[in-house]
Amino acid sequence: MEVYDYVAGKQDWLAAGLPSEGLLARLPRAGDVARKDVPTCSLGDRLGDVRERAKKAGWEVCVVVNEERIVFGLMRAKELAGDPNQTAEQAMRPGPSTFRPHVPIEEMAAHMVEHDRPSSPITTSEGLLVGVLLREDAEREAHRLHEALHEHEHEHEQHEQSEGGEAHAR
Amino acid sequence: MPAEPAPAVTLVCRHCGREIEFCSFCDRTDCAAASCYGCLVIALGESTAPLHVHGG
Repeated sequence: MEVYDYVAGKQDWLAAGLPSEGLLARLPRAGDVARKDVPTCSLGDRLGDVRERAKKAGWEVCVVVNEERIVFGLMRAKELAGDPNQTAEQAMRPGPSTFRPHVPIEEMAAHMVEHDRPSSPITTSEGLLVGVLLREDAEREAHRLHEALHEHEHEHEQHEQSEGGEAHAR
Repeated sequence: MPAEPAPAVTLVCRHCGREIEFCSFCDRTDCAAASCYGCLVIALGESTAPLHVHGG
Protein backbone atom coordinates (compact mmCIF):
# COMPACT_ATOMS: atom_id res chain seq x y z
CA MET A 1 0.00 0.00 0.00
CA GLU A 2 1.35 3.42 -0.92
CA VAL A 3 0.91 6.17 1.64
CA TYR A 4 1.09 9.86 0.75
CA ASP A 5 1.61 12.74 3.13
CA TYR A 6 -0.66 15.66 2.22
CA VAL A 7 1.79 18.34 3.28
CA ALA A 8 -0.64 21.26 3.11
CA GLY A 9 -2.61 19.71 5.98
CA LYS A 10 -6.11 18.60 6.84
CA GLN A 11 -7.60 22.10 6.87
CA ASP A 12 -6.35 22.68 3.33
CA TRP A 13 -7.76 19.33 2.20
CA LEU A 14 -11.18 20.25 3.60
CA ALA A 15 -10.95 23.80 2.23
CA ALA A 16 -10.46 22.34 -1.24
CA GLY A 17 -13.79 20.53 -0.88
CA LEU A 18 -12.11 17.12 -1.06
CA PRO A 19 -13.90 14.09 0.42
CA SER A 20 -13.70 13.38 4.14
CA GLU A 21 -15.00 10.71 6.47
CA GLY A 22 -16.00 10.37 10.11
CA LEU A 23 -18.92 11.61 12.18
CA LEU A 24 -18.46 15.32 11.41
CA ALA A 25 -18.11 14.65 7.68
CA ARG A 26 -21.77 13.63 7.59
CA LEU A 27 -22.92 17.11 8.59
CA PRO A 28 -23.85 19.30 5.60
CA ARG A 29 -21.37 21.99 4.68
CA ALA A 30 -21.38 25.05 2.46
CA GLY A 31 -19.88 23.13 -0.46
CA ASP A 32 -22.54 20.40 -0.29
CA VAL A 33 -25.43 22.86 -0.36
CA ALA A 34 -23.96 25.37 -2.84
CA ARG A 35 -25.59 25.33 -6.26
CA LYS A 36 -23.10 24.20 -8.86
CA ASP A 37 -25.21 25.33 -11.82
CA VAL A 38 -24.80 29.06 -11.13
CA PRO A 39 -24.29 31.03 -14.37
CA THR A 40 -20.76 32.19 -15.05
CA CYS A 41 -19.30 34.62 -17.55
CA SER A 42 -15.93 35.96 -18.65
CA LEU A 43 -14.51 39.42 -17.97
CA GLY A 44 -15.07 40.54 -21.56
CA ASP A 45 -18.69 39.37 -21.90
CA ARG A 46 -21.31 42.02 -22.66
CA LEU A 47 -23.54 42.69 -19.64
CA GLY A 48 -26.74 42.64 -21.70
CA ASP A 49 -25.96 39.11 -22.94
CA VAL A 50 -24.96 37.91 -19.48
CA ARG A 51 -28.15 39.29 -17.93
CA GLU A 52 -30.27 37.57 -20.58
CA ARG A 53 -28.49 34.26 -20.03
CA ALA A 54 -28.82 34.46 -16.25
CA LYS A 55 -32.50 35.45 -16.49
CA LYS A 56 -33.27 32.51 -18.79
CA ALA A 57 -31.65 30.15 -16.28
CA GLY A 58 -33.72 31.71 -13.46
CA TRP A 59 -30.83 33.42 -11.69
CA GLU A 60 -30.24 36.93 -10.37
CA VAL A 61 -26.55 36.22 -9.81
CA CYS A 62 -23.66 35.61 -12.16
CA VAL A 63 -20.07 34.82 -11.22
CA VAL A 64 -17.29 36.30 -13.32
CA VAL A 65 -14.53 33.74 -13.79
CA ASN A 66 -11.51 33.13 -16.00
CA GLU A 67 -11.01 30.08 -18.21
CA GLU A 68 -9.86 28.07 -15.17
CA ARG A 69 -13.03 29.01 -13.22
CA ILE A 70 -11.10 31.23 -10.82
CA VAL A 71 -13.49 33.83 -9.37
CA PHE A 72 -12.76 37.42 -10.36
CA GLY A 73 -16.03 39.09 -9.42
CA LEU A 74 -19.69 38.78 -8.67
CA MET A 75 -22.77 40.35 -10.20
CA ARG A 76 -26.00 40.36 -8.22
CA ALA A 77 -29.33 41.89 -9.35
CA LYS A 78 -28.03 45.45 -8.89
CA GLU A 79 -24.92 44.93 -11.03
CA LEU A 80 -26.84 42.88 -13.63
CA ALA A 81 -29.28 45.77 -14.06
CA GLY A 82 -26.52 48.11 -15.27
CA ASP A 83 -25.80 49.45 -18.77
CA PRO A 84 -26.13 46.44 -21.13
CA ASN A 85 -23.21 47.63 -23.25
CA GLN A 86 -20.71 47.47 -20.40
CA THR A 87 -18.44 44.48 -20.05
CA ALA A 88 -18.80 42.13 -17.09
CA GLU A 89 -15.47 43.47 -15.83
CA GLN A 90 -16.85 47.01 -15.70
CA ALA A 91 -20.10 45.99 -14.02
CA MET A 92 -18.94 43.38 -11.50
CA ARG A 93 -18.05 43.75 -7.85
CA PRO A 94 -14.40 42.76 -7.92
CA GLY A 95 -12.91 40.49 -5.28
CA PRO A 96 -16.10 39.50 -3.47
CA SER A 97 -15.91 37.77 -0.08
CA THR A 98 -15.82 34.05 -0.74
CA PHE A 99 -16.17 31.14 1.64
CA ARG A 100 -14.64 27.69 1.78
CA PRO A 101 -16.65 24.50 1.11
CA HIS A 102 -16.02 23.02 4.57
CA VAL A 103 -17.72 25.81 6.55
CA PRO A 104 -20.64 24.24 8.50
CA ILE A 105 -23.96 25.14 6.94
CA GLU A 106 -25.51 26.44 10.16
CA GLU A 107 -22.66 28.95 10.55
CA MET A 108 -23.11 30.17 6.99
CA ALA A 109 -26.89 30.39 7.46
CA ALA A 110 -26.54 32.39 10.67
CA HIS A 111 -24.10 34.84 9.08
CA MET A 112 -26.15 35.22 5.90
CA VAL A 113 -29.24 36.07 7.92
CA GLU A 114 -27.36 38.43 10.25
CA HIS A 115 -25.71 40.26 7.34
CA ASP A 116 -28.78 40.12 5.09
CA ARG A 117 -26.75 38.49 2.33
CA PRO A 118 -28.80 36.69 -0.35
CA SER A 119 -25.97 34.64 -1.81
CA SER A 120 -22.31 33.84 -1.26
CA PRO A 121 -19.77 32.37 -3.65
CA ILE A 122 -18.07 29.22 -2.38
CA THR A 123 -14.52 28.68 -3.62
CA THR A 124 -11.48 26.59 -2.80
CA SER A 125 -8.46 28.26 -1.16
CA GLU A 126 -7.11 28.90 -4.67
CA GLY A 127 -10.26 30.79 -5.68
CA LEU A 128 -11.70 28.01 -7.85
CA LEU A 129 -15.48 28.30 -8.04
CA VAL A 130 -17.38 25.48 -6.31
CA GLY A 131 -20.82 27.09 -6.53
CA VAL A 132 -23.05 29.76 -5.04
CA LEU A 133 -24.77 29.26 -1.71
CA LEU A 134 -28.25 30.79 -1.59
CA ARG A 135 -29.52 32.00 1.77
CA GLU A 136 -32.80 30.12 1.38
CA ASP A 137 -30.90 26.85 0.80
CA ALA A 138 -28.57 27.48 3.74
CA GLU A 139 -31.49 28.30 6.05
CA ARG A 140 -33.46 25.24 4.95
CA GLU A 141 -30.50 22.89 5.43
CA ALA A 142 -29.60 24.42 8.79
CA HIS A 143 -33.20 24.02 9.94
CA ARG A 144 -33.27 20.40 8.73
CA LEU A 145 -30.01 19.69 10.54
CA HIS A 146 -31.29 21.31 13.72
CA GLU A 147 -34.45 19.19 13.62
CA ALA A 148 -32.48 16.00 12.96
CA LEU A 149 -30.13 16.71 15.89
CA HIS A 150 -33.07 17.51 18.13
CA GLU A 151 -34.75 14.25 17.15
CA HIS A 152 -31.51 12.36 17.79
CA GLU A 153 -31.22 13.91 21.27
CA HIS A 154 -34.83 13.01 22.01
CA GLU A 155 -34.24 9.38 20.96
CA HIS A 156 -31.07 9.28 23.07
CA GLU A 157 -32.95 10.59 26.14
CA GLN A 158 -35.72 8.02 25.63
CA HIS A 159 -33.13 5.25 25.28
CA GLU A 160 -31.40 6.34 28.50
CA GLN A 161 -34.69 6.54 30.35
CA SER A 162 -35.73 3.04 29.24
CA GLU A 163 -32.31 1.63 30.22
CA GLY A 164 -32.58 3.34 33.61
CA GLY A 165 -36.04 1.90 34.11
CA GLU A 166 -34.83 -1.61 33.27
CA ALA A 167 -31.90 -1.32 35.68
CA HIS A 168 -34.25 -0.11 38.40
CA ALA A 169 -36.62 -3.07 37.74
CA ARG A 170 -33.69 -5.48 38.16
CA MET B 1 -8.95 78.41 4.53
CA PRO B 2 -10.52 75.40 2.82
CA ALA B 3 -12.95 73.41 4.93
CA GLU B 4 -11.69 70.07 6.12
CA PRO B 5 -13.40 67.09 4.53
CA ALA B 6 -16.01 65.47 6.73
CA PRO B 7 -14.59 62.43 8.48
CA ALA B 8 -15.63 59.15 6.90
CA VAL B 9 -18.10 57.10 8.91
CA THR B 10 -16.04 54.54 10.73
CA LEU B 11 -17.08 50.96 10.85
CA VAL B 12 -15.97 48.92 13.83
CA CYS B 13 -15.63 45.16 14.09
CA ARG B 14 -18.34 43.99 16.44
CA HIS B 15 -16.08 41.30 17.89
CA CYS B 16 -12.70 42.95 18.44
CA GLY B 17 -13.48 46.66 18.07
CA ARG B 18 -10.94 47.17 15.27
CA GLU B 19 -11.75 49.94 12.79
CA ILE B 20 -12.47 48.50 9.35
CA GLU B 21 -13.41 49.90 5.94
CA PHE B 22 -16.06 47.31 5.15
CA CYS B 23 -17.57 44.17 6.62
CA SER B 24 -15.63 41.08 5.55
CA PHE B 25 -18.76 38.96 5.38
CA CYS B 26 -21.13 41.12 3.33
CA ASP B 27 -18.66 43.68 1.88
CA ARG B 28 -20.93 46.51 3.01
CA THR B 29 -19.71 49.73 4.59
CA ASP B 30 -22.93 50.20 6.59
CA CYS B 31 -23.24 46.71 8.10
CA ALA B 32 -24.84 46.63 11.55
CA ALA B 33 -23.04 43.39 12.40
CA ALA B 34 -19.68 44.22 10.82
CA SER B 35 -16.83 41.78 11.22
CA CYS B 36 -13.14 42.17 10.38
CA TYR B 37 -11.47 39.45 8.32
CA GLY B 38 -9.62 37.97 11.29
CA CYS B 39 -12.74 37.59 13.42
CA LEU B 40 -14.68 36.25 10.45
CA VAL B 41 -12.27 33.41 9.67
CA ILE B 42 -12.25 32.45 13.33
CA ALA B 43 -16.06 32.55 13.45
CA LEU B 44 -16.29 30.36 10.37
CA GLY B 45 -13.62 27.95 11.61
CA GLU B 46 -11.28 28.54 8.71
CA SER B 47 -8.19 29.39 10.69
CA THR B 48 -8.00 26.65 13.25
CA ALA B 49 -4.52 25.35 13.92
CA PRO B 50 -3.45 22.30 11.89
CA LEU B 51 -4.28 19.13 13.79
CA HIS B 52 -0.91 17.57 13.00
CA VAL B 53 2.37 19.14 12.01
CA HIS B 54 2.59 16.85 9.00
CA GLY B 55 -1.00 17.27 7.97
CA GLY B 56 -2.20 13.86 9.14
